[in-house]
Amino acid sequence: MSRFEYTCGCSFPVLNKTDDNLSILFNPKIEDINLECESTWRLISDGNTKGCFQLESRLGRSIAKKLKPSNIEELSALISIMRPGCLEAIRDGKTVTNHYIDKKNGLESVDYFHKSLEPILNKTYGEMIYQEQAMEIAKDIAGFNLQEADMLRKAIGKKKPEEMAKVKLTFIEGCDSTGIVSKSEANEIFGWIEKSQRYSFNKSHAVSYAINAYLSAYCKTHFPKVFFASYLRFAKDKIDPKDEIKALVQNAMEMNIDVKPPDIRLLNKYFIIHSKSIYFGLTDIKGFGQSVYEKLISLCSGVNITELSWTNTLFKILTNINSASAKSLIKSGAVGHFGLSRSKIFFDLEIVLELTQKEINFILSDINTLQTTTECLEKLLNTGKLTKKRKEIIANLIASLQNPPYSLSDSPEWIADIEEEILGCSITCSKVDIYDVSMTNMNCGEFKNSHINNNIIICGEIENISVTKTKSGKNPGLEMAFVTISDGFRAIDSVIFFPEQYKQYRNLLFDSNVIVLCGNRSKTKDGLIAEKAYVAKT
Amino acid sequence: MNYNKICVFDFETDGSNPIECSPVQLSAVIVDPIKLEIIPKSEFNILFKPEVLEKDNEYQYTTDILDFHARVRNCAKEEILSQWKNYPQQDQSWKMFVSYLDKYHTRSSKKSQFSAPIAAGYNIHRFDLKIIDRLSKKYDNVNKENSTNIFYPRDVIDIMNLVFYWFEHSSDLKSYSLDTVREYFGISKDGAHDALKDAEDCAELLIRFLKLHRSVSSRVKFQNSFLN
Repeated sequence: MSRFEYTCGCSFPVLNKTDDNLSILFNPKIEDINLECESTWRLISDGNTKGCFQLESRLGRSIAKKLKPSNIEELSALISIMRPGCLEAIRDGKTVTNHYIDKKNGLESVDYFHKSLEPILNKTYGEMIYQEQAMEIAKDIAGFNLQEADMLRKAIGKKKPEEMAKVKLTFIEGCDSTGIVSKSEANEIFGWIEKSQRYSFNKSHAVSYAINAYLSAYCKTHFPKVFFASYLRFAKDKIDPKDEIKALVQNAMEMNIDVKPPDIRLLNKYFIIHSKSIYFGLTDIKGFGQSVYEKLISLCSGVNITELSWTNTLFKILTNINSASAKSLIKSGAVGHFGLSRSKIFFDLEIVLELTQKEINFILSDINTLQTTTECLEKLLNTGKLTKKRKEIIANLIASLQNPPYSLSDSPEWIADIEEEILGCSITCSKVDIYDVSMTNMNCGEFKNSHINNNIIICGEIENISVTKTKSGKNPGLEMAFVTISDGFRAIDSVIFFPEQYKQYRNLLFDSNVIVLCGNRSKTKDGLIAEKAYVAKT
Repeated sequence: MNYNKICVFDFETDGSNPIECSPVQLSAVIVDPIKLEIIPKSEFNILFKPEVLEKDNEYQYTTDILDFHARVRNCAKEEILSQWKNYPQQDQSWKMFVSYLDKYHTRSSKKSQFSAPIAAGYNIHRFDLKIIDRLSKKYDNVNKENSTNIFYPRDVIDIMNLVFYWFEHSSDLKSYSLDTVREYFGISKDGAHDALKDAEDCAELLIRFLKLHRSVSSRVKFQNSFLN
């Protein structure tokens, strides 16, 4: 390795940026990390690399799964072949990326063109994916010294014909004098080097990337809570924070990590780890910004918030921050520890917001003896100094509390929707929870590990739909769809509706609809080919 | 394809002129547009103190509206008036209706009026929507066009229109009043003119018509049908 660098885009140092408990939980020395950790390599090979440096994209995850790297050398190769050059370079009708994957998996024979190249190319299955390999070849078969070899690399990189011609001549002459390959072979090898430079990557760079990728995967494997809490904390800086939070939370849940909605008692600004769970921070709630957070902290100074009763919380805290933020706080589930439904808390707050400050102060004077909102208003009605009109209003508010105009129970559908809206993803429940899934034979979580390949019946909420046109097949140019469904256990991100099925069921395919699917597992085993779709019944 | 939930609602009022009257009761249910069924526990029912009584608790009605309500509720008109006097203030009840509708927005990346429920009801074009508009303006629930922002802005489903489309060529239906339609369809009249009962009956009628439309439209070819 000629160069080792921490690139500024590296995910790993993010872990050490976290201020409070996270950096205490995970603050490793790189030299102490075992680079041969089986479970880390398994995580990478399973494609469970969301959040891992360089490997977190869909492409990265997919190639990691196909390539199943088991050491830094192979991981460096993976990082090289997933770069645009390799992905776009076509040889014999196949990209260099696919050549490499197929050779690694024994689906294509490995050919070194000339036995003299084997020691240089054997670690990359005969593919020239690094610039350093071209330099090594020039050194071994054309007798170049390192400086000349570097000139070869630069000349090819610059693509200047006159320099190329000069280097080529030196290369052919060099080969002639070493006699390792014939002149025609030398010409062919040079042509190959020339072509490879369009896509080959600097190995030192690839290795440093690979080590960073490994380190983040190592952390994800051994310190998953710290890993996810840290990534969730910095999700705000991503282009689409909501999508990032959703993907990370889903991935964390798949790894059996408990992610919980915010809890006002913790008063944490950002994501934290508490009692073995990751909790959303209060400022991660949409509509609950920095200034409201500061106001909340000032309201809680000198108060043990964990011991505040419901009425104290309602009258001392919720009514003293702006009502929109208080409503967001309630919707997020942050005040859920009183055992009241979010709808009920929301409704009670709206009732209390009808009171004047003087009336609130009257109630606060005796708040510790009052257990419910109704009791508070009854106290006000019976002993407060009220005009006849205010008495009427308070009496009606009490009547509304006693007999609310609509159901104050929380439906899972509503909870899932509001959490999605204000936290970025549903955590407490899934919309699927209210549907009858007795006819299904697996859930989305079981799909991954199940050995059933045919007649799969599964229920899920549609998270994403991507409509595309067929390029080949019976009728090219017809619309088909790739759909992501989830059910609170995990997501299946490749449900395929081929044109015939898409035409028949397109009306059911819309965001957040809950459907029952019948189909078969795709050849790649991680997708479901939909045959039939139905609207799920409650 | 419509994904917005449908709010079937009905007002009972203290008068027959939607420009002047006050609501005394507002009820609603929500219809799931995909499954075509009333969403369980989606009922809303609230009472309003009439505006004239808010201003003057001793106001005397000169129309026969109290007689109408007394007849429907099978009680004395003095009892009706006494109940109305104790009903919640209009602004309180209105806020609760707005909060209720807020729970039934369709999930969308950005909450807006376009994710709000579609307004539906019987004869709502001529009556109930005018009250909705008036109260929306009064309590500042309006959009840039100064129209209500509590419902989906484009579509409104007036079930009376649906009945008209299916019976305009027929003399089977003696009138288009909800009572006549109820009788014709065999829906019980017990509790009629209670806003919740009316809203629920209307929701059932709407579901029936929408199911009918879906079954018919799947057999009709509209595309290019004017070409020949």
